[in-house]
Amino acid sequence: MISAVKIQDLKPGVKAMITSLVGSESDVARLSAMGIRGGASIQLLRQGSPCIVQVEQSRLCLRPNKQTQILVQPD
Amino acid sequence: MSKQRREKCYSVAVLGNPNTGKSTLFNALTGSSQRTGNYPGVTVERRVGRIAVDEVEFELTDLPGTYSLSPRSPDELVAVQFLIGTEVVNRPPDALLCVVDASNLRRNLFIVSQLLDLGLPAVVALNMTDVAERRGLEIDVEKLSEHLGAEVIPVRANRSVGLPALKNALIRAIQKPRADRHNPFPAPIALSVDRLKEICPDSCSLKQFVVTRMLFDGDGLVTDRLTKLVDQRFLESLPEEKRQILAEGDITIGEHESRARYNWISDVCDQCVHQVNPDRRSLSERVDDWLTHPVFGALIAILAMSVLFFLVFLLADPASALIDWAKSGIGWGIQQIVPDGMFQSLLVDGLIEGVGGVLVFLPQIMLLFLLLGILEDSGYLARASFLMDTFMSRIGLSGIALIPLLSSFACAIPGVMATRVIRDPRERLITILIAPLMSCSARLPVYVLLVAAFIANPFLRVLTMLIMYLIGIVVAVIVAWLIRRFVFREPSSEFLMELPAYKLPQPSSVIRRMLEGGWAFVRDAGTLIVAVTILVWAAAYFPHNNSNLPAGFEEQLTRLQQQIDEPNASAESIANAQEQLLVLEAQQATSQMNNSYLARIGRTLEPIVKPLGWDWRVGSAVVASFPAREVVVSTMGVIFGLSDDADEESESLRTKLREATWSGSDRKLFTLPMALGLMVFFALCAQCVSTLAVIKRETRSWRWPIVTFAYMTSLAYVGALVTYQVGTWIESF
Repeated sequence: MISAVKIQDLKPGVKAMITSLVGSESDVARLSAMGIRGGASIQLLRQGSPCIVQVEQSRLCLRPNKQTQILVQPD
Repeated sequence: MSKQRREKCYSVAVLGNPNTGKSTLFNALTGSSQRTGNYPGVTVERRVGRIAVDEVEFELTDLPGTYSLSPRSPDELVAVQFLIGTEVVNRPPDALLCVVDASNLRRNLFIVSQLLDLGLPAVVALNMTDVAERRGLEIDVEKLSEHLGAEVIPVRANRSVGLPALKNALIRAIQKPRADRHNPFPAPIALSVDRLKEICPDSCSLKQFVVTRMLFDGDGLVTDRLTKLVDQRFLESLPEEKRQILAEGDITIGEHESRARYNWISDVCDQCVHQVNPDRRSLSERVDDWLTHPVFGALIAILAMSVLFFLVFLLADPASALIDWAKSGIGWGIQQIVPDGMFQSLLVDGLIEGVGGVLVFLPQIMLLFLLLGILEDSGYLARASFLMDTFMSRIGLSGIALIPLLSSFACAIPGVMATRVIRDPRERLITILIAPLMSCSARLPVYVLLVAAFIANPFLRVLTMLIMYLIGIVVAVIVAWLIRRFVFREPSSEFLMELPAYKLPQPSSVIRRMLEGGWAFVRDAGTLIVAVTILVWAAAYFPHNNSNLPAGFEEQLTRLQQQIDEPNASAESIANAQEQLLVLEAQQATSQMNNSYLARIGRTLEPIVKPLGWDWRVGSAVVASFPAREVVVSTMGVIFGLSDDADEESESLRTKLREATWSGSDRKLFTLPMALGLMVFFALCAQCVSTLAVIKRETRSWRWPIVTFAYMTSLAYVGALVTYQVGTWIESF
């Protein structure tokens, strides 16, 4: 089993599952409300800062601040 | 009858995620019965519309699109405040109309789940069913209604499909309040919720909502307001219940909420949503491959931005010129009807000038809102922001700030208004503060006049103009960086933005937004602009006496007038007299101006502006240009003894400026360093009452226009001082 990696380190196009969110309570709440939450499937579409991710049916543009981390488990 | 109707009017809150077609649905339902206003204290637009269904009236309020009810931005706060009863409407709404995107049901049901906690009668509008169908999804509407405990009506807002069914569902909802209560929570949380509901005071009508928000959203913006709805006993029990929930796992209390709700959503979707056809890659996704490409996408974005800029600049210009022309025409007409004197001058130079000065900005504002509306509605704005973010994030802004800044090169007023697309309030404020530094089209006449008068080499002329534009940009970057470094030091919240599927813009909603933008400017900023213009007119007009004119001046005027009116005078003698009369009148205007309160202010300020190489005349002209920079050209015309229709192209004004000397000496007033300094001053100053009025409107406070004026005027002064002093020092070699 491959260990969890940060979303930014995922290879583009690879599907993964979000394992956990690290960050301030309000940032995590914001992410969750937009669909970025533990258990959701995620795919990195464009690398870089900001990056584009596909989370279930939504496409999001994302530039996390230094304290926020989205950890994922590649399929 | 009408009274009875008013009693029957039910208040309905229209809510949902952004990009669900919520506003399109609202427009389709309410049509022309809409009114807009503001919520107290914030800049969020309040849109209300009335509809009648079978004698029952509903007042629909289109709340800002939001992803959750834990408010993190002013928009979201407005939505939550409205739900629990605000200063505007002092009670919760009678019913909810939740708009959800059928093609993205999971995420959309998150806020629906939070809304159902309110226990209010609710109807769910299942929008974009066509998109869901294309994605191969089939939704069991009956079953979904059952699970939600609220009627679900499939609609297609952009085609006005399903609206009658939706209206009838609203009637049924208010007639038969919801029976079952919403409970998405697993055992330990559900127990805590029940216990807290038990001790929640009876005066609180939205028990489950208040309990869940207090429980999961302790540090939210709305906590203060919620605290007022409960009592001491409740507040004392809260920490213990939180502790019990937190003991269930090492995640935050907020994650407990989202986990519970998403689990409930998964259950619901597993039963109600079926993938009947394969999910084909949509056209939108294929287009996105190109438009978000680091190279092609960036090129297209730069192209799109340039087109936007030039359209605002080029298309609005003839319309503004037309308004300007109409203004002069009306002014001329009034001069023919109203006799000479103070009243005529007030009408022409004060009122018409002020009103014209407001209207002249309208073409640019409306055009910008139209283009922005098309970009936003089509889904492209989000992509352009994504591409520009890499550059903008270096000065602490995000990609979306580029649009207002770019618009400000045409005019800062639509630019400042366009900052509404920025969601982060701090970032929006920084953008508002630096937008007026972009060299707008009103600086051009000042640059043209001075460059043409003092620089002969055509290449150097272009270079100087370019440097003036660059100065604004460089200073803006530095100011933005300094504000981020020293004022708003807390790290910016992460940049998180949905990239909605591309779609054709809705003409009705784009046009509506354009009209609203124009009206908001006229209503809120217009009055202030007219008032200040009249004030400056009064300073330049009064006391309006001829005490400075040489003896016999009046007699000379009368004699010339008689000469012209003489019945058997020769054409030559009339022409001759008319010419002399014009010279005398210009002399009189100059003398009256030099005697005015404005000139007195200029003389008082002379010690302050002398280090910039200005005398009181230049100082007065700059003071008079407070309503609008370009006024400085015509004011200088009057002060330096030309008729007041001098413009930047007029050769005589350039000559007058070149020949002007310090009073009592033959030292030239306008030297090259002084002219360059004056240009730098106008590049950096905030001499535009319209911009300041719009900043006041958009920030809802006097503080920010004052800050803008103070910091920009200081920068302008220092810039002009350095340019003049260094230039003069270099020239002395």
